[in-house]
Amino acid sequence: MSKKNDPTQLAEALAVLTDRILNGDDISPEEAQELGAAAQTLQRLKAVITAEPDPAFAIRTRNLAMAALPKAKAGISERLQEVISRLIGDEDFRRNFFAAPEKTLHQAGFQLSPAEIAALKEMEPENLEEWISDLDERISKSGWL
Amino acid sequence: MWTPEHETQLIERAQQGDQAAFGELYDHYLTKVYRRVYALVPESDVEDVTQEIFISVARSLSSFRGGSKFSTWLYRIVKRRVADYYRKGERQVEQVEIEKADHVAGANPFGDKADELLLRQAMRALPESHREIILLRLAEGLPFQDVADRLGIKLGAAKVRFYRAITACQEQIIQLEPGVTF
Repeated sequence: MSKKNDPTQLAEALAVLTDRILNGDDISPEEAQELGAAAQTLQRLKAVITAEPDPAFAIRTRNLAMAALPKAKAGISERLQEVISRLIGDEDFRRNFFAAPEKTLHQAGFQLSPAEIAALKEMEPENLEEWISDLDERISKSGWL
Repeated sequence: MWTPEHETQLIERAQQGDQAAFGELYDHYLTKVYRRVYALVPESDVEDVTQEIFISVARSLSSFRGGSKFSTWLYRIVKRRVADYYRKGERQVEQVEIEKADHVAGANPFGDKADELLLRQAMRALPESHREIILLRLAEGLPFQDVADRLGIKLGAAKVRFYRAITACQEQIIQLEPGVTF
């Protein structure tokens, strides 16, 4: 099989070219032509994907994010933290939860108090993080634990 | 030097409200997150979406339990925020931007602006496994061996997947812009 049709050899050649492009090496048109359209696509993607954030934006966002960092949530139960963790990280679980909260919690083996379930049901999928950040306050107000 | 142990310590301290620890995590991940967003969202909204992501991370960090890598957890938030962005209807705005950019670019289908928009559309249309390997190699700058380790595959398989991902991206561009020739 010629190099032109062998996927493994083409993949190796593209990997070498990628390393060189990311190292800032100059690539001659002849070298790029060997890999044809793949090399061209790679170069165009590299130009878009390696953008750097503006320093002023970076500082502004750092300050905003640090200000949003809540205090430790010592008042939240382990089991509730586990459910929240699943909601953040597991898309299927999150989708099923918002469709049928009690059934999903039961199927996943979570045993929460009625108050905890009620609080979870108040949240909206788009505002998950905001809901979590206010959880301490909800808990202290409701006196759940 | 950034090690998994150091990262774990920072996360634990940040979960206790330690702003300096969170700041260090932020500095380490900002460019990686920014590039991921830049690859998928119109340039005019990249900063807003990136900012929302880091505020979300700060607010929900206490729910991170270490069951997966922190980067995996973080990139799930990135993915969800980008999905939210398109669910809210900005996609139509981007289509208008493409049309405007095409108009400005004129005979050159690869005017810078039009090209960026086209590439973002192509990236979004890729299967997750293809998009992820492009982001790991190009956005994060991980060497191929580290990309392979991160994905749990062999080095040769990572290179083949990367090649297929680039080829698939090129095919998406052709589908989106039938007149484009390479």
